[in-house]
Amino acid sequence: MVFWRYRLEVLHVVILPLVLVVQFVSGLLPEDLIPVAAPLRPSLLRFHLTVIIFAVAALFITFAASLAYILLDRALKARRPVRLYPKLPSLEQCDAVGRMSLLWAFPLLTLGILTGAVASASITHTFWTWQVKETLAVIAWVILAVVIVLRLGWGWRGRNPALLTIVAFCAVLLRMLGVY
Amino acid sequence: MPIVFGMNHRSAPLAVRERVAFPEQEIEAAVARLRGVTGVEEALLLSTCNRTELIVSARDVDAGGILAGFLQGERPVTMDEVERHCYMHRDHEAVRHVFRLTSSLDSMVIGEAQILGQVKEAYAAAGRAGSLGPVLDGLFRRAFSAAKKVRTETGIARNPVSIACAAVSLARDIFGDLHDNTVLVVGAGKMARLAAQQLKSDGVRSVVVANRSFQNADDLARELDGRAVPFDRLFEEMERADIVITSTASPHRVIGREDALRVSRARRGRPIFFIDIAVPRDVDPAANEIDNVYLYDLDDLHRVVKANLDGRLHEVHSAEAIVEREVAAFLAWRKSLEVTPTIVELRQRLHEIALGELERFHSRLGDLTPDQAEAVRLLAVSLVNKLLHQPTVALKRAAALNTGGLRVELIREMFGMDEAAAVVPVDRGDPLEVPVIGRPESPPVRRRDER
Repeated sequence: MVFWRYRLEVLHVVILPLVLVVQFVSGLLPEDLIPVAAPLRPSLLRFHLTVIIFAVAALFITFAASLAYILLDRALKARRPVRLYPKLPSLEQCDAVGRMSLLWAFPLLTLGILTGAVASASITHTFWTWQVKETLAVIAWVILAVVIVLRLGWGWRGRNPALLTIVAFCAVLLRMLGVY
Repeated sequence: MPIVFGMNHRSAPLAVRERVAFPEQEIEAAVARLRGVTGVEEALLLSTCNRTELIVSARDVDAGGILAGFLQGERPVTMDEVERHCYMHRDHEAVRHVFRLTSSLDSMVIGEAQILGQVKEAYAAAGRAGSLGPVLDGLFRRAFSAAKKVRTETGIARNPVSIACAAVSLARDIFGDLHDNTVLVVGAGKMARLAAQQLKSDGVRSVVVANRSFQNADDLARELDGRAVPFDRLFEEMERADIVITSTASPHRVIGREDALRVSRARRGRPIFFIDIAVPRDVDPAANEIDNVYLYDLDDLHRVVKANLDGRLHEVHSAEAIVEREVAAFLAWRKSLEVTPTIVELRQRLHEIALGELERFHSRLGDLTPDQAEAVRLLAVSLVNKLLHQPTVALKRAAALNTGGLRVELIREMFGMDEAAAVVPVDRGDPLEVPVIGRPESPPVRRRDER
């Protein structure tokens, strides 16, 4: 969707290695970590996973755009020639992509966390345990919520939302890559 | 082979160059006159603000004297100045010079695109004047394709090297295609006008001009198809403008850090790009520290330009390598052309001998039927062709070799051929095309009267 609208092939450069890393790490993980044959509500679990995958995919793009923004912003502020990053999109484009993809990622992530909680409740009969993975997800969610409120409400934009988004994404990534 | 004679920005001061330069409208006539000079076979005249060069293909050994005389006769310069400031390149040096010239490696600003257009114009003018021939035509065609290769395969022309272009390129890095952006010009100076014009031609949506003298603002706004505003509404306008060019003559800061901060807040974080080309500066340098405010002053822009120029210098090596390759390819092609006249002449000469002998023996052969006479003629022709086969192959092979010249000389000497004929220009086309055997009396090669 983002690609159709903005045609930013550069983002591939950031996204492709990330996908590879995630795949590689997930290949290393023992398979029984995720209770695939959960006794109850397997469809809900599957739904949860699907939603989370889409949320993280959208967040990937937000992250990539934010990173590009930070790099370009630093180069411009330092008044060094931007020769180092000849193919980066403009600041405004990065910002617009970041904003759009975040608006997709956030509801998906919210839905993902909720269904996760419900699924977990149906499996372990505990609605919420303050495990690290859950906490990380919530931290990421809170950061993203703050970013969205600032962006939409206060018209915040540019470097700081980009930085916060990167932090939030790292939290999600950590949670995904198995800080259990 | 070609000869280059002329002066450029390195060999001559502007005071001399401006007198030597040919006015644009006179070039065509001048190149025709140059072509008419004794000894000059082909001519092209290149005259820009940085160089004036006579590029000719000439037979005469003393081309330097002839060309110096021509220049001195055409333009108001003394012979002394011509001798002191002009350089001359011959043969492969001249070829290399032309290739480097069109690839903008010899320019004052390396990699600038103008020179290629100027050379193309000179080439067109020479074409109209009818002064081009196989040597120069081939040379310049190759040079144009080499220049294109250099531009596309190296980064020599990638980054802007003028202040105005550098500013526009920075604006693009911030705002993208600029179509939705407004530029605010503060002060109606010449530099601001230039930068604003550049931005306007690059697609900026609207231009607003603010100046202490409203009249001047209005004039500039009209020129840029924009709108003038009173100077005291400056900060109001700034909230809506994305690019601010300042160039007032004010001795004090016009826009302080606090102003920039306030503007940035009012813009709710939309980036704003200050281009401060005033001396002394109009915008507080500390404004650059504010988020979403980007400030470049004249020094910063100069630095960007310089870095881009340095970047170009890095690319010069690979550009030179491409030029060397192209020069070598061109020279090899030229060489292959060189052996053709020799082959043609060799065939012609031997066939002439054969037919001459046939004529001489005609009486001794007695009365022959037409069939028999034809058979005898064919015998002679066929004998000559058989004998010619091996030398022809050797010559063709020689074309590709560096030692080709030696082999050509050897064969010419062995068969007692006239030395001067080797420089006869030939028709372009398949360089190794050999005339149809059996009709030696109609040489397909255009010849000039040598003696």
